[in-house]
Amino acid sequence: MFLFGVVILTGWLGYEAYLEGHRTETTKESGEAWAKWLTVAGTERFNKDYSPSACAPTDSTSNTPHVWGECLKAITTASAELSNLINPFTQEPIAIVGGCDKDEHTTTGQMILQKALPTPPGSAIPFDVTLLSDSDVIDKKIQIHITICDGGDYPIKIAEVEF
Amino acid sequence: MDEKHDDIRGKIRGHDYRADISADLPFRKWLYSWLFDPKIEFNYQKDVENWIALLIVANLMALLFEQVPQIHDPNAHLFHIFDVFSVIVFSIEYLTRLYVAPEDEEFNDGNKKALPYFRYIKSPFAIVDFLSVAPFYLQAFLPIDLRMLRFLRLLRILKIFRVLIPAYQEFVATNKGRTFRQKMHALVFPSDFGGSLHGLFDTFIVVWVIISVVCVVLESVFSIEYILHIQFIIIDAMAVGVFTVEYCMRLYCCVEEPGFEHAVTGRFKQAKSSSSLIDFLAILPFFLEIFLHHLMDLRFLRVFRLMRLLKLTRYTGATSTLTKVIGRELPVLGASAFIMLLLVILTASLGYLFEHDAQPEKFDNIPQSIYWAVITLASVGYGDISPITTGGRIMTIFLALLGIGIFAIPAALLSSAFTDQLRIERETLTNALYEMLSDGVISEEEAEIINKEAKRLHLSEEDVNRLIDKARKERELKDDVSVLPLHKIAATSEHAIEHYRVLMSQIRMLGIMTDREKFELIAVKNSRLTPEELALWRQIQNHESSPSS
Repeated sequence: MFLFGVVILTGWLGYEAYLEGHRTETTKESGEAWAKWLTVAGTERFNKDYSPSACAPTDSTSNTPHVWGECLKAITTASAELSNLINPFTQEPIAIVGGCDKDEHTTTGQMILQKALPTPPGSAIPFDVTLLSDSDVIDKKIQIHITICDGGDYPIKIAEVEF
Repeated sequence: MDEKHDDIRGKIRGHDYRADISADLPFRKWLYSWLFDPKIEFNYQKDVENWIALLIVANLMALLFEQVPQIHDPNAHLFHIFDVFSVIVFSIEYLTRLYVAPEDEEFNDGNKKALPYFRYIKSPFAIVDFLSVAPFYLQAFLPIDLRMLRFLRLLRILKIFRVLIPAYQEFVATNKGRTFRQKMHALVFPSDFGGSLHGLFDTFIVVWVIISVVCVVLESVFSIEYILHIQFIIIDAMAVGVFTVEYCMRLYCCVEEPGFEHAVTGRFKQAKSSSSLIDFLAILPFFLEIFLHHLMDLRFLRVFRLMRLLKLTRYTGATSTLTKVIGRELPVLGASAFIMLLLVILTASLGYLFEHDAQPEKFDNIPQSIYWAVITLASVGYGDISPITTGGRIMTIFLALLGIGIFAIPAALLSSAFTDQLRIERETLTNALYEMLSDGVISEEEAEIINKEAKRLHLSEEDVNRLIDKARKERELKDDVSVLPLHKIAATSEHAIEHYRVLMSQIRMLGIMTDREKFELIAVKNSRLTPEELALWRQIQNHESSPSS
């Protein structure tokens, strides 16, 4: 009976570990969906009449430049593909956060978007990676790094895409 | 005498021994004897089964990895080549078994009506063998869904039952009438009741240890971990399941072990043994992470899963030799470590003394100088910190030369201790042989013990025979009591009687070889012998009375 109990317990704990891993896999898939969308958008958004227009470069008639915050809003509302992505740990839509919080565990299953700007020639590092803020102008191509926070709030790098 | 020695040698096999199967046998019989006959010891039957089992495991792994498109798609051709190779090997095995079926008693009982080939084909193992390769050939003629094909290939795993079922049957027969706990003990612990199934259980654990450790290592490679994350989790959970059940089984049935009989203290004693502690540490990180991950970050514990590698120490004698060697040399190693510590502190202090003023950032204090001292004394010399003052450099020259000698001591100690241990173990075997040869013969049980020990010590047949010769000569020397001092002969009545008989025989020989009349004449005339001695002489020489008397 004891051995049977041990088998059941380890089986249950193993299943729990599998579920946790599966949730991380789902988050990774969400990150990959973002990467795929941004890559496609990166090649098409400079075409005329691109939709959503908030993600296209600023046209000559507009007074205000197009910024990432507006584009993000448009992506998560207009594109069904990305707006339907759910954080499997919270069962709520995936949020864009500033970093993975290992201490408080408030960012499990969320996503981090960073922009990589090339540094001047001769610098020790080739890119300066900072958070992609809502006010960043998206008129030119941007190198975006996509990272997700896994079940233990550890960052997992998903992709580097050109948007 | 020589026949006896040949008989002894015939029973002893080194680790490199192979069965003596005559090449004059008919080819089919010869092939069966070498490859498949389980009754012939030291043929290739076990090797064939082991390699086939290994190929089955490899097929299972390939089947698992095929499910991951990121691995399968770029390497599809390699997977196909491996599949073809496996099918070829399994087909050759199937056809060879079919060809030699008439030589197998199981399929050929002399009844001509029941064809051995047909009896083989309809045997369960042959059906499994056939099913394991049939889908591959079938797909050439029929369009089979890929997923169905992969499922059918899973049938190859059933081939493992060819090894498992006979071992299980042997285990059941050996353990008939024993309790459940005794049976479990026979399965888990080495005993006379374990048989092949115990060996398979050990192999199963070893395979899981290797798989688990390989996974831990591969997890550290981001590109692999990213693709196989969920597979690694599944494998780790399965490994922990296997190791936990094994750990509990050992704790449950350890009371059957001599010295562990008490239900509580016996199990506690088992739990605190080094091998059990290793088993416990192998599963602990998984449970700690599962239960405590909400309280603290315990991901660093994952690296301790590599401790599972230590579980393999149970299955090799090398670790026990190492433990014995370190235990024996511990006082000397301790003394050596003390001298090293003294030297390190001294060097660090002198380095600080000479270099502090010149390089305050590198020799800021004595603890900081210890790093430089160890790197210098151990002859590593990274060069990131080096003396620049004349005094410091002169001191470094002397200390570096001293360090070579001092730091080499533990290595030399361990090296010689290992050689000594090997010599001791061989001498122990020689002593055992010496005892075994007391009756002049080596029984089957004794031969089995010697063969096991020879295998453990990696002795060849030639080495074992040399030890037997040595033991035999020592035994013969002991049997020849005449070379022993008289007080030693007198100490044992058997030896005293034997010696007395030898002396009597020598006196008789003397009587035959010498001129008896002249002997007695001189003995009487010169009073060289007392009357009693002369009477005894005559009695021994079967003379009732001498001519002179």
